[in-house]
Amino acid sequence: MRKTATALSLILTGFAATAAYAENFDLVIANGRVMDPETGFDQVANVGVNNGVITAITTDAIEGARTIDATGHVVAPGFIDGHVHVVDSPFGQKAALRDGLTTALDLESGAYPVDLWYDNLDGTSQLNYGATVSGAAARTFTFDPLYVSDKGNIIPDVFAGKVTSFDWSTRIVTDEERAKVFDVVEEGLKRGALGIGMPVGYMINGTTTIDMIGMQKLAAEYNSFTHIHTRFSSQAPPASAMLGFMEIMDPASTYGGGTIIAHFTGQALGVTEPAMEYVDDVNDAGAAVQLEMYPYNFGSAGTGISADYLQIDNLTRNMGRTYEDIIDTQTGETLTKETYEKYLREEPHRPVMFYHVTEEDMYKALSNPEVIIGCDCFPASDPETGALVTDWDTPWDKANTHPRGSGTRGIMLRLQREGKIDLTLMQAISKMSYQWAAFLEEHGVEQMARKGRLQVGADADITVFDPETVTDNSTLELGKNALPTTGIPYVIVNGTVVVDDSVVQRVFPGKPIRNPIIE
Amino acid sequence: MKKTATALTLILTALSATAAHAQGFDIVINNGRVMDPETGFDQIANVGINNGFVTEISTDDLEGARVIDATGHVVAPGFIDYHSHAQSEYGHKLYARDGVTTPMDLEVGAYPVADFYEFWEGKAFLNYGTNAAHVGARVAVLDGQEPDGRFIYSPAVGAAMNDGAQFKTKTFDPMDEPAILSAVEAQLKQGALGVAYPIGYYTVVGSPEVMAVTGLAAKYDMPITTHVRYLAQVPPSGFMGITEMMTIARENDVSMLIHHIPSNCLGLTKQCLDLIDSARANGMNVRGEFYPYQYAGTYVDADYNAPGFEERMGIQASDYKLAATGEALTNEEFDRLRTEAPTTDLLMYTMKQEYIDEAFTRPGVIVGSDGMPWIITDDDGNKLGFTATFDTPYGAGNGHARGAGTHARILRMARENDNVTLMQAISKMTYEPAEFLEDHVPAMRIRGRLQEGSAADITIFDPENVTDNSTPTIGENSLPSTGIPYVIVNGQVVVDDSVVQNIPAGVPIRGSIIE
Repeated sequence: MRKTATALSLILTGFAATAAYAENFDLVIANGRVMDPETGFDQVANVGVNNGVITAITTDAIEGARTIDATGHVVAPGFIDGHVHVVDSPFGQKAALRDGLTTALDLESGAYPVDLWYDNLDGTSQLNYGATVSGAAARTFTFDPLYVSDKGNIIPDVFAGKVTSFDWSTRIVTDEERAKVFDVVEEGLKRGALGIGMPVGYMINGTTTIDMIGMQKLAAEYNSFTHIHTRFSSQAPPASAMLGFMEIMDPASTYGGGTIIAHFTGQALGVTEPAMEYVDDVNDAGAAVQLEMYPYNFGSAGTGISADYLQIDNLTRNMGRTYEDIIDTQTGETLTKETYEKYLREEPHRPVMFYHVTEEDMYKALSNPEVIIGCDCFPASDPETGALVTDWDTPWDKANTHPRGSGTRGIMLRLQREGKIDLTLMQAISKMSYQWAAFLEEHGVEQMARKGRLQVGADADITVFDPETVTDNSTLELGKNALPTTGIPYVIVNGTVVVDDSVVQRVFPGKPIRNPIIE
Repeated sequence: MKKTATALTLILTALSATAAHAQGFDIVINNGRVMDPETGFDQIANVGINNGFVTEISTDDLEGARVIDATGHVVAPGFIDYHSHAQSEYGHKLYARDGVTTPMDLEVGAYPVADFYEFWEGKAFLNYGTNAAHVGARVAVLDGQEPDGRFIYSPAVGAAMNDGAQFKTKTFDPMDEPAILSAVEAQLKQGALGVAYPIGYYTVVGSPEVMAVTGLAAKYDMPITTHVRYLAQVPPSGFMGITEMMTIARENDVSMLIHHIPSNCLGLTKQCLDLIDSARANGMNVRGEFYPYQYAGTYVDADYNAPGFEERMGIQASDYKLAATGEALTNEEFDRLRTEAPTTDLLMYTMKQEYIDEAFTRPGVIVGSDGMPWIITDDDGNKLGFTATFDTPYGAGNGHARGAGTHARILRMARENDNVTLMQAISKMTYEPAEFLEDHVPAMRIRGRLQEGSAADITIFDPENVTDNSTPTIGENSLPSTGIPYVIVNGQVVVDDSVVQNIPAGVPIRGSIIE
């Protein structure tokens, strides 16, 4: 009932506005099926854009300097993703754009120094960009004050050997060091970081629960949120994923602030369903816990084969997996006991992928309308040299990586069409746009009030896709890891057509998503 | 090399951005002090408008088909007034001069709601909208009279008043409830923005009826509004009236606007506002409202004016003045009017300045003018009724000065009062009202703000000189505010160099029409 009411007001507003000026839009997207998850608006209409803002949604004929014919296509809010590790990679951006993404945020690993991260992307980003302050980098910097980040993103620093010890992962802070870590994190919030990113799952031996409580308390003080790769990937006691969830949900319930639990199916595994039920109850009791996942049943280890959760005891006993469930990203081969031990010894950061949740549990989680989609898009490596590839011109078949970096949106829309997941198209869109915006808006990011919506007054971040043919093309097969999604011919960022007839243009209309700086 | 590339990209981005600006805006407002209460943005900037929306706020030079120089002026979101009974072209004209872009009568509402929207369609120069008049449903059901949209203007009201006024005299009978529920629900299906309960005018109403009708507001996810029962600072008090409606709103989980708190609470204004703040802190979407005048408009036979008013309100007969002449009443004259002319309009001086200051200085309490329909009289002072037209001269309309001067008066008070910033004062007339309604009415989400993406409802005023000019003196009741030279509604200049243009710039603010 509510949705009908809202949609009608919207269209009426649109009509009235366009009656006044019918001719001078910068861009018109004509005849598409306009879908807005917040209001439930869903009808064929024309969308007018001026100066980066949607200024009309109407069934009247409208004209603009440029008109895109969207007949037979869905006109959706540009997709938003809060779990993107390739925000600063031109190649990563290009793949994400083909997949319909218009706002890419690294909320899990985060940024440090925050100014450096944002400055690096100023004027050079094709999509909107933002990040949390990195709890992992705050620890690294505290233990090694000489740590200098290249671009404010610790992940490539780890792979490039700029992080010289494992202290960031394994060392327990002294009281003085804890104070220093929190100073660094708070400084990040004051510099406009969107929240606090704390991938404790990579630091299970070095991070205490006291640290986690402190992070959530700090987030609450700033009316902000944490994004947590939780402590355990495990379906078995004593170190189960649910305990890892509770470690952050409890302070979130106590102090407030939001929390996003990253790729929760990869953590919860066989307890995916009970975890969803419990989180629902926690939220009913007043907390703001957001479950996030990517639509794949295998993951990509953020620090390579030495990641805490891939250690053999955890892998076998707690995850129910074994050596053969790990895939070498470089060669595409499944590991053996011998290669596993060799790589761990000789190349602890060697990129690997690994199976985690069952396909059945993954579909159940994807079908839960409350769960949002975060791709965990991860840097790609060169098939020959193994070096990280970031060049915009990298051929699509010369990038080894988890297929989620190119296909997350495409696979979601395909799975919905094929009925493999129980969602309406509107719900699928919502999980990839509006629900991200709504969570972030609720937790202090005012700019998100105008994103994730296809409404007059919203930012003109728009994804136009063919609901009958849109599909992912990236797979685990070597050479196909990064093949771009097809069926998304137009992607518009702040009113600029960035993907034009399925070709990514060299334009940089992305704007920073950043909180006000507190002096 | 890398840095060069970056610099070049930056230049290109800047160039393309400039190129976009050069394509031109429909309207540009240059060099004003742009103030946005939601974000706290407050700096000299230029505002670009396309197709009815603000699409640029920038310190860059902007070019447009029309350029307004706002040097020395504040550029604020257009004012929103949820307590605007003067739903005529003359009434809207005075609101426009007072900086209001969205005047809605949510206190009394309309009946039938569809007729109200039809009345304004195609001719409103300001945004228009309404909620369902519960009192209209009562007049229709209990008195058998048919209001025709703008409730207060309807002949049906006078007819009911002259024939038993069942709507305000009949004691609660559960047998009436189904018909009243059905009548109100029909209004919600016509897109009413909730249900209005001005039960202070019909205190006989049964709480169970209000409770039941509020269930309909919940069903359609719309708010309720109320002029609470009791205008008194001793029991039964305005405070008690608020607690009644709070319970009804809470039980039904609906949002609620409580009109003119000082008017009903008098010496308990602080306690009433504390109660509302507490409810909001506990998660309820409830707002209090006030208008910045010490006197109220009323009529002789209003429930709260019944004998004994001296104790209830702490005033004397001489605190009442005839709206038509400004003449103070005596006890004898009051008694005579009760029998002979019960609908005579009065002004009553009930509010001390401290009550008003309590509301003015407290964040979260919004401004609602309670501007009444303007009364036209002939040369002998005989009432001709609500006959003002767009061309009726300023000053000719009689009624409470708040209908012409509330918003400019608030701006003047902010200038003269160190305890309220200009931004806070603006917020009470823009962002805070919008915030109250926006979860139910998306059109309000892009109003009450001055941001890229906001509807181009904009009020431009001179902060040093803006002032109300309307007074209680006959001939001055409806003098327009000055110092607000430009008012823009959906990207069209409705007040242009202080002259109101009769152009259909307004849009309906309306819920869904459910067949």
